[in-house]
Amino acid sequence: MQDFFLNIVWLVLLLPLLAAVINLLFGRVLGAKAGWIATGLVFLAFLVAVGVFIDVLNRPGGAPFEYDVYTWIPSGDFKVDIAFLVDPLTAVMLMVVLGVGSVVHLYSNGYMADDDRPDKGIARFFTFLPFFIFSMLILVLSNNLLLLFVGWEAVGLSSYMLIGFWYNKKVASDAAKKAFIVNRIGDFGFELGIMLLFVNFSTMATDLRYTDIFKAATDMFNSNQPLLLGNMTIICLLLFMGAMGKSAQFPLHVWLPDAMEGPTPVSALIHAATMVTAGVYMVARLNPLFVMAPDALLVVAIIGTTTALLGATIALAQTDIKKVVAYSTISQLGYMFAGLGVGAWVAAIFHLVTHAFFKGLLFLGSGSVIHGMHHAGIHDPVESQDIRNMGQMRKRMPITFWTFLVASLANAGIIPFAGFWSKDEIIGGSILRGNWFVGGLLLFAAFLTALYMFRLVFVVFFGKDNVPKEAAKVFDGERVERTMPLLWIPLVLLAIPATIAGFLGFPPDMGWIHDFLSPVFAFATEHGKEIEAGFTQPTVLILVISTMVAIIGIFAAWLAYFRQTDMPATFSRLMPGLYNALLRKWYFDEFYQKIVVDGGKALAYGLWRFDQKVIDGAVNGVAGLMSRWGGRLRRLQTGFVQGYALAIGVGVLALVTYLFFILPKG
Amino acid sequence: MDQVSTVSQTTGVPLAWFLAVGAILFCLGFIGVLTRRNVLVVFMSAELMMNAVNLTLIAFSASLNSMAGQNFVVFVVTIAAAEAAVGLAIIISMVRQKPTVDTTDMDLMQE
Amino acid sequence: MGDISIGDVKIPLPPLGQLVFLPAAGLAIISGIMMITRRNAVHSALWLIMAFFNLAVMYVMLGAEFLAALQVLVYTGAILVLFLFVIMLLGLKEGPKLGGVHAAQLVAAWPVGVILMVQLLLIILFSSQPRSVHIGDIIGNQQVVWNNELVLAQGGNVQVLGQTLYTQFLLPFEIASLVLLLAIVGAIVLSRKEEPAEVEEILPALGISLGRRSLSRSSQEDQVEKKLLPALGVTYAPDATVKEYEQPTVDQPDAIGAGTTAGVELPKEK
Repeated sequence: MQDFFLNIVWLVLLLPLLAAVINLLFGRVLGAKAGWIATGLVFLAFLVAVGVFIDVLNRPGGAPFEYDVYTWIPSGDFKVDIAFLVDPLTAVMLMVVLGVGSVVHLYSNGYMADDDRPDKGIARFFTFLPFFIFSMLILVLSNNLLLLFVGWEAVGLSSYMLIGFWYNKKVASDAAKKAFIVNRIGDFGFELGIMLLFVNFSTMATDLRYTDIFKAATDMFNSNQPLLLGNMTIICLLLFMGAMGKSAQFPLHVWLPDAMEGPTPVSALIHAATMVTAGVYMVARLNPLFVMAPDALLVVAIIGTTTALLGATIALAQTDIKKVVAYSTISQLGYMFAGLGVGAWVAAIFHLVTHAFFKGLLFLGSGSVIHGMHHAGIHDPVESQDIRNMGQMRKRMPITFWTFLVASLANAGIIPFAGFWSKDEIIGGSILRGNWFVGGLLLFAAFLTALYMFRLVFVVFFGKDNVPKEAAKVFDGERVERTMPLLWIPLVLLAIPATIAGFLGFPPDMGWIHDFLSPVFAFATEHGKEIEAGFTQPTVLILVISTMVAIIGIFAAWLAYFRQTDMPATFSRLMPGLYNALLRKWYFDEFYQKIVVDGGKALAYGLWRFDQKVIDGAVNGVAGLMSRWGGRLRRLQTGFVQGYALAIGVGVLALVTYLFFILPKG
Repeated sequence: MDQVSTVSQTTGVPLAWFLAVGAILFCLGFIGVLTRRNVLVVFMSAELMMNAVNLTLIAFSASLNSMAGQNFVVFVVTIAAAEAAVGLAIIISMVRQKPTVDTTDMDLMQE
Repeated sequence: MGDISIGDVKIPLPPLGQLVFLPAAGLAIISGIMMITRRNAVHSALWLIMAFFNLAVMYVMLGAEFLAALQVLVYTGAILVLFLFVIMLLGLKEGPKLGGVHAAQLVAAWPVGVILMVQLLLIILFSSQPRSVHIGDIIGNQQVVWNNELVLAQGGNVQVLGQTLYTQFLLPFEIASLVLLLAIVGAIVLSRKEEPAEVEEILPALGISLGRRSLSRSSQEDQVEKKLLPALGVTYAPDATVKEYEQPTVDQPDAIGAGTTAGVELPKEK
């Protein structure tokens, strides 16, 4: 049964779509069953994906497998297929998307069922969620850029619909719009990039297939031929702009924290584990192009590092549990891009995988806490997510605590949890490749990561009990978790990979995942810098240093938020400017409000005035002139036919006079 | 009769005279179309104009030694007959709507 | 042609062609003038017949005998008679008598027409060729009228015309026949009177449709259907929606301005 599952790879796509369609059509009838249908079908898709994964494993040398479905756009020389490419990178993405996806589906059954809103919208939720899985799968399975873009936009659409799932909440619908619009900015660049690729390589890659584009680009690169339009750096930067939007990189990161207005499972699946990594996937997928543009890669590294620091610093001061995790996501995405930028391709994808597990887990854990707060009678969304209303949750929700702790350790980068290996590989990769600056900053960000993660852990699960009295009674009266197995089973399921997934990349730079993914990045590694790998001295040194840094971060958190809880207050008193800057997210929203929104409004107002005065004036003026003249000329139109005939006669007379009496003489 | 006599009936008349008669009749018809109020007379004036054109066509046909002009006249007569039939039918149905043949009163399409 | 000699005085006679042409042309022009100036439409028509006859004479002079015959038969025999028929059919008191002219048009039309006429005459009479070329002249080897010998050798004017008409002008000829057919049908449709109600009543029962001749439904048609359809087992309810619609009674007269004013009789504005 060679490649049996590869040949039914379409099934992976079809099952979530089927779930979406069923719930779209019959969701109202199915009620709560809609969730189980979606979960079942997505899990089935996961099983098929496992088969696909095993098939890919068995293919010699990770040879890519292409599956043509049909020609989508046949237009002369331009031809785009609906066709799939399954290679190790795709296989890894399939596992992540469907693995986390099925767990989140399972979790959503519990989370959404207890929703106390009048319109539960379970059917709607379980239409969008499988649809998102479907879109994401199109994105990762596509073998050409245009189909990738279809998936790219479709995940954006489902993200929009799920952020604004509680559409009657104004903040939610605003956040949805914000996410959509900010993403459009990135997509603008992405589209331009695709068009430039098409313009330059259309003769050789008429169908925008990756393989054809790479071949065409490599040929041009090797022969030192200049491109027809633009150059590789511009193309790669434009493509990266799309990634910046989708993966919430500075300065387009502003939508992601707001996206937390959506239901928590959505945050876990879309805005932590999968969709936001689409940009990372895309850059990794197009690695041969980026390798040809070292300047663009440098920009990727700089943006990634900046974002990593930015997210980590802002996360320090946030009080909303989901916002903290959201900024952590931004920060970790920054790590991934930094890894891509310095050429640690596999490390970036590795981090993508581990991050998907532990960040999904973090979100689901926060969801559990929030759900518990709801259960305890705190229904206001702001109150129930505020960490200042929490504390001592360790005893009240032990499973949540332990899994959350695992995820925090993974995120902070403590050996041997998943995040440690992947994050260290990025830091180590950048230092070993000579990017000391990037590595140093990332190391500092790692300290911050440990700090904010354990700030969360200490404040929420230990520390002072800030839970309101009535709610505390509910918590103490019963074990909230017990009543909701659907909420803790997924946590455990995710905690396992969050703990052990790091060993996929063990030993560093020589692990299984590196072997597995190496064919994908063959071209990039050929042109990149070879580094010393495995347990060599520098690697071990970096491992030790980063562990130390993380432990220092945890210690600092312990000190500030457990031992001497007045320290943060003192800090904010001493440096109010810095504290406020962190609290206000480095004033990005204010900046965009002032520059983009107000500026846009002012510009729009100006244009509106221009339109009113000049354009409308011209149009109305012309119309008015016509109307005035028409009013005068109307009198000629008597409706008296013989009058018209007379006019014809006069015309004939004039013509005859001109042609026979004036023209011959002149 | 000998050969000469067969053409003798037309000899001596300049081509221009035929054309001149055609032009005069055409302009008379034109004036009639413009001035008369009785729609039937307007119609007849139009017929006169058409006949003037026919005369011109035949005169040129003769001078150019071509049958094309005469063939044209056949078609013009055909169309004139058709036009007369349809036009008069229209006048009849119009008179049924409004019993008048005055062109100034025929203003159904106006406003 | 010779001259007329009265004693010693020889009066040179113009060529025979001119003797025929001049009266015909003069009569045609006079008839034309009379036609457009007579107040009575019947008189106009009669003058027009006169003009047509004189034109036929000129056709003969130009060697177009068949067209001359056609002129007499079709124009005077058919079209003008049709005109006269119509004038009398209409039976309007003022119909034939309507001799009025548009005063304003008169002021403009006569100058325009006359100037145009003068210009055309100037063009015709003072441009070189038509003036110098006489019918019957021989230019080069050819006579300037078709070569009668040739025409006769081919069987005369009618045959030559027929040959060209059915060969060179076959397609236009066929199209002309279609135009005539259309004119016949059109004339019938346009001038047809609506059938009396009894006929209309019978025809649908026979499965014959007369079609609809006007955009608005005539009361006749409504009546026919009202009578006929119950017999066929069809309930007839024209404008049922309008008739069965009752104005909703309004409990609260205050409802005006409360959003819905449907069916509420608004106080009339003064």
